[in-house]
Amino acid sequence: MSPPRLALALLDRLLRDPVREAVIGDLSEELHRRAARDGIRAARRWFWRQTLASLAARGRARLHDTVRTGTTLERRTPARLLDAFRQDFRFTRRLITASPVFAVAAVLTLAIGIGAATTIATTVDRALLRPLPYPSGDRLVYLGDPNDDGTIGNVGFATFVDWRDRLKTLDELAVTRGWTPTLVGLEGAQRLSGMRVSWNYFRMLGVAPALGRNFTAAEDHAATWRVVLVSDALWRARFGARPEAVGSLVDLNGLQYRIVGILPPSFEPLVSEHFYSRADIWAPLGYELGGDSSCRSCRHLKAVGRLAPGASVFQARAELAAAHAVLRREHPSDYTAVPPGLNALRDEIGGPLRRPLELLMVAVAFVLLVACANVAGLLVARATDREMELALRAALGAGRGRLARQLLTESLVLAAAAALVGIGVARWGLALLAAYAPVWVPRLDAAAADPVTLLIGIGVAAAALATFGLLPAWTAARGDLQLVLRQSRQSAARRAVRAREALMVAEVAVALLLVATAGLMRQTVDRLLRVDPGFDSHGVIVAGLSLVGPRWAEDAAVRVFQDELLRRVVALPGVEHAALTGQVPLGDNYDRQAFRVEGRTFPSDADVPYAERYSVTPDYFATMRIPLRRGRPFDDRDATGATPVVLVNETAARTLFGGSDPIGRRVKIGGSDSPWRTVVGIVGDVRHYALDRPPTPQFYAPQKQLADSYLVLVVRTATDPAALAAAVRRQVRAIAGDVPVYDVSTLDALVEASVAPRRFVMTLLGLFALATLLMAAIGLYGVVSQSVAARQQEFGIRLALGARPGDIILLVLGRGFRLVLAGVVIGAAAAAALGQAIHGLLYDTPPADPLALGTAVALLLLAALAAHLAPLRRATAVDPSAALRGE
Amino acid sequence: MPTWLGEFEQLVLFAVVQLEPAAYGAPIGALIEERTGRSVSSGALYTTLERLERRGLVGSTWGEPTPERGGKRKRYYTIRPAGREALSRSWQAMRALARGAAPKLERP
Repeated sequence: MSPPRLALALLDRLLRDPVREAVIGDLSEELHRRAARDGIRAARRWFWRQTLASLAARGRARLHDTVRTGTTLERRTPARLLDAFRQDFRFTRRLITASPVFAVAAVLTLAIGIGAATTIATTVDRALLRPLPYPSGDRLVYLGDPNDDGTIGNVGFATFVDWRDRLKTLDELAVTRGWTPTLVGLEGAQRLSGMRVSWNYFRMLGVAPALGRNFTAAEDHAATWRVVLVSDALWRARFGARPEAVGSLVDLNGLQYRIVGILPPSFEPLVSEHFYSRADIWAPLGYELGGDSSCRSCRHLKAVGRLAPGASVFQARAELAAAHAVLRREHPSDYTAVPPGLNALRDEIGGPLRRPLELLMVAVAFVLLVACANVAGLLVARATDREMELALRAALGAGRGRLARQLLTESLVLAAAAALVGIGVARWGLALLAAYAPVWVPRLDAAAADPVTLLIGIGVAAAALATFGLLPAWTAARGDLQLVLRQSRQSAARRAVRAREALMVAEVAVALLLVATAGLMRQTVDRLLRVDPGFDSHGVIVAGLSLVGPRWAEDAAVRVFQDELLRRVVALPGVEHAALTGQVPLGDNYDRQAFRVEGRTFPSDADVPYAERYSVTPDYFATMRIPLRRGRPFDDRDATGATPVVLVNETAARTLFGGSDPIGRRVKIGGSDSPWRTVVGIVGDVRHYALDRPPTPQFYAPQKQLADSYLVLVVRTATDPAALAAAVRRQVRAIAGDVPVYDVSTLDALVEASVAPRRFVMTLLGLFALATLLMAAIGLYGVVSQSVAARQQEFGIRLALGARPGDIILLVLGRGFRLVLAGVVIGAAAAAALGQAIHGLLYDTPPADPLALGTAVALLLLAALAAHLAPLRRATAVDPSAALRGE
Repeated sequence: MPTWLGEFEQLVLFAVVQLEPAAYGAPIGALIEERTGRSVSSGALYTTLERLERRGLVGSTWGEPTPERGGKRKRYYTIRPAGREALSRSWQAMRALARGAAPKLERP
């Protein structure tokens, strides 16, 4: 005659140490006596009554103690408190080792959420939140005359001088322009990325050279500017990191420059011709008022200023507007009514990243939420199994706080483990981002994992986990002991299923939201790539060439080089066409010129329209496959000294000629003192800036009549582009050893690069969507499994009463898909709303794109169906008699 | 201030006194149930015994395990002088107060 095992286990687990042995012993002994006297069944009933009454009595006593003394025995000394924590951890360890699958699933799920959130949050921190990495980084502003689209543009040198003298809210004002000198060395000609800057530029940033000295005011003149500062990287690569390099002369563009200093290795050239492009060498601007490039409308300089102490961006903006009003009165033909713009440099640099990063932030927040919801689902499921234990502990006087602490400890252990794995995920994610992101985020490569951001990730996970982990404790602590003891395990399971179902609806909604949004980005990328750029990008390689320095000062020398190069390249095997041009579409070049049509007048010079300028050799159109619409193409007639001619694109023909036929009309390019050129034909539009920007007015001039020193060689080939590139390099070197070949690429790659930022967002979103979809499916599987388990008996009865397996399947599917459909409806509404919020990132894709939404819904339903398969098999395999016997 | 005992504490102490030196949980509970008809839960019994021990009214020692106890040891309790004094005082008080009340309680 032995006591009931479950009762014994309860007593063993729940009674406090000093009396446990005596109580169990007494009850066992008495059980024997009563079994002999009253029979075994009565004795066992007695034992159960004793067990529950004893536990309840002990609980009441503890409660009594707490009320009377305001403290429980356990809480009286720090040593006991420590002991209690140790007990918590021991208990936690036991639970984890008891169900390792649960622990691993929870930790991995959370780690993915934490890792993704940490990666993106760190990127946001680096790209948008931190001050720029200069001592005066948070006071730097970007200012300039307005572009047509309202963004801040460039300024002319004379404007800069006036602003420098008049603006009091800025204590420094500097200007910069791009500079790409050719450095000829033993390894051949190399084209460097550099900048020309006003002499105070580095002083304004607060950056001092690591070696040598800064520029001086005296060096910023037309006669004296041939001095350079060199980046640490270039100094190491080309000057062997020798200190003597400072003070030595270097040959750039065939002229001698003196190196005056080396910048520290940590210096990052955030402000270059295009923000963030690389720069390795800097020289003073060397402009003077009255010079060729110094006029007010010669807008090719970027202005960066530093706010005076105490001055705000708003004050600076107001002062700039006032200064503009005065300047416009003094020089009416040079300024439009639109005032110049001024903005914090950090916002200006981070601006293009803001929208995509915000979208990704929202996405990772959802990933994290779904991860937490999934773990919460697991916890709730497990709590069902522990409900008896928790309720009894509560009845025994383990206060709500004590129980909460136990569950909190478990959550914290899980969260800590997840955070550790999450760090690894984030490190890996940041390395991937730094390597593959199509835009450069400052200092991201060094970010690894930012401890602050990581802490936020851990905090979020722990908070979410604690909230959900405490849920069962709360109910247990509040719950009525008798009720819990009376109810069957099945009804407890049913309540847990309901809680998990609510979480499931949320998970499905979020998964649909992310899948649909990823779908929208996919549509956008697809539609962008289907946009006709106006040229045929397949099989064309491009290569940059610079013909700079005294040797190329005369156009005649440039033309001889061009003819010779094209003659040799066309003769290479596999080459169909080859041409030279000043710039190519989507090539990140910005050569725009004022375009004055004879007979049309404008109120001021500032109102004259601009057009993209392509100076090309005749075969350019055949090479690019840009169609001639009307008139005649360039040919041998258009030689140097012949009547100057131009071709215009359809947009220019439509918008710049006042409605009349452009062919035969005469135009001036650039300044009003330039020669008249006759329009001889109209060609198709190309998309110059981006696939999603409509074609701008464009015109073409023959290289013979308008030679460029920075050229792009375009070659249409039927063979391997890589092999051809090497051959082209050899030909250039054979003709002129001082001409560097750079930016070798294909037109296809340029097209791809123009959609790369969106493709990147799409890829990340797709990954996040996949993660949530997977988690939702796993979560759904768990809920359906639990629900099926809880309804075993019901299914058994139904089967026994003649229900067919098909009916059971419909029952299970009906319940599961009610949740899925609720989630789908909520998620679809949310997706439409989010699509609206990010419409700026979309192209030719409505926020509620039926294809994206439909695909997402279909994917979700498939995943939901997959999650149902295994539980369905179990539901239909119920043995009626076994199910009826159970409990 | 003299120590006063609750009613259940008195019952437990009386049982301990009567059963000494073999006073442990099972016979204490059985004796109370047998003489008073009151069912006693083991948990409540030990709660009281622990409280009495904390107040210095009883002492306890571990005894030997037996097979019918599933190998669990007995916890023997003995009354201490303070317990004897408190029980006697409470009992005297009860008797003094009960004098003459019995006939009235027997009327319906």
